[in-house]
Amino acid sequence: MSEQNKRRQYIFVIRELTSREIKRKYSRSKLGIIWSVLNPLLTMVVLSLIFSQIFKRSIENFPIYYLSGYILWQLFTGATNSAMTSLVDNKMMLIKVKFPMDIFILARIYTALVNFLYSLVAYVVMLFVFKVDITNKMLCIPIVVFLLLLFAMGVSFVLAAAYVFFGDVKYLYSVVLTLWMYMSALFYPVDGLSGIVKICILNNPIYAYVGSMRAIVLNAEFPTVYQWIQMFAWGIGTFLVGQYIFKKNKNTIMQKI
Amino acid sequence: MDFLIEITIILGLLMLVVSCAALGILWHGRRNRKKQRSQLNQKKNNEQKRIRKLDVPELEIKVQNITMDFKREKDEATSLKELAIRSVTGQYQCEKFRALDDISFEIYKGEVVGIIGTNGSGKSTILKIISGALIPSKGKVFVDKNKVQLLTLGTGFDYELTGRENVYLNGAIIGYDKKYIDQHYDEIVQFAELEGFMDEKVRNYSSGMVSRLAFAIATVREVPEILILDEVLSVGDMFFRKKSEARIKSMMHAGSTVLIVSHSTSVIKSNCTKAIWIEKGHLRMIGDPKTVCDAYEKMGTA
Repeated sequence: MSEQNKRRQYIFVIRELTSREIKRKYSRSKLGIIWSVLNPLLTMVVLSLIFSQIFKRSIENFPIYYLSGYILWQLFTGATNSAMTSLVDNKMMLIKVKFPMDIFILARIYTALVNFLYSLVAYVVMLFVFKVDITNKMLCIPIVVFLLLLFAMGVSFVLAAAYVFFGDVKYLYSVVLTLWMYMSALFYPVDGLSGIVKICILNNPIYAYVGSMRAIVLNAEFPTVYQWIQMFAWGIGTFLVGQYIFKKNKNTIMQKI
Repeated sequence: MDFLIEITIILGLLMLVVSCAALGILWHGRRNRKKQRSQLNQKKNNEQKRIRKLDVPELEIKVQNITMDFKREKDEATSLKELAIRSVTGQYQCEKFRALDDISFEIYKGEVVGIIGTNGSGKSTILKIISGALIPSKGKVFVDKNKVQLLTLGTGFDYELTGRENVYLNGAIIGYDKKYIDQHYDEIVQFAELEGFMDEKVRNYSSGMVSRLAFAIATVREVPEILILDEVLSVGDMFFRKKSEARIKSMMHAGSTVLIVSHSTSVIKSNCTKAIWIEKGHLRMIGDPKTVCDAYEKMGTA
């Protein structure tokens, strides 16, 4: 098989694996695939009810402020959490089929992206409800999402490799995610903070993506140069480091599994 | 506030530098690897040419002094805490488990080779090494990896999906492209005798139906040059078994080289032209199927 054929085959496999994950997620429900949009939409309605009524803050259009961060955060956690266990879950397949192992990780990340696109439909509905203007600045969003995906991929490579050796990584990571979420300023403004917390948040990769998303959607502004640098550096840097670590450990992973 | 901004900018620049460095290392590594690969390929080609010159029947697989070690930690640390404690207190011990010990054999084109041995003797390990899924700790395998096809049943079957969806999923995993599945879909369904069930979830199938479907998907492929069968010769009811054996036999006799792993000596006696007996990682006997199988059976009764 030539390189090109191989690549095409891999893409086909990734798509089949992804469609499996998505189909089976709601396979026992009556509405089936419609839940993919309905579920995030209902969640967003509840969240915006809560945040517009209970936490009336100084932030303008607080529901959208929160949701912009929320969907990106969901994309990141969805991708990393599912990719982390992908190698162990597909153990049988890994042993029997001669694929590059990355395929299973990429399939999970692609699944997270597809789920994100479904939530994006719900998000757009919310944008209309809260009368946010649609501007041409929003054309930047795909770039932001792509860079976030690169970042998530890098993290996933490391986590997936680590999870093969230690099941504990899963629980440890969930704790880390909780801390990370509070450090990402998902539901509070950053301006009021100071000291070490502020430094942490400003240098938090997730916040770079979330912040840019908010700037684009809420203020109709392009992200600042500094934000672009942060996003590119974290995205590409993490991806390369993650892939390097993964490649180095490939053989030991195979033996361990 | 100024000092905050400064720190963030410095950190940002640092990240940029780190990522650039990583990029450089990776690129450099790739170039080196390319060089190494081309050298290796040349060596391999030379070797193969030499082999071809020496042997009149074409050598298809050459396994040379394969040793496979698995590292097994003594009562393995499965948690980070344990590992940390052990590495601090110096209790970190590795025990080597030798799955294969210095095994060599040669397989020529057109041979049907059966591999026997008790459970856990390393039969599957050797297949994995030949198919390229595992890299041996020592020794070499000479084989064209593109020719090798491992026939496996039901890899990645998902019971929540319908029969149709599983044909595509499983087909993709074992290496068919979309067009190929489209073309052979009806043939698969017909062979599995599952007309009218394909839009049903596999969860509702009987176990016989599942294995029939799996077998049908796995065997629609064009016969590969080197076929590896890992315990696939007993599926479904009596009638389907006859059908499947006929199909496997026709694949075997299509002139390709076949490797069979089986516990059943009768399968090996009736199908193979050569048998290899591996016991606890050691090569015990190699040669005529009848002689080898008889010796193997004798060990069982002794």
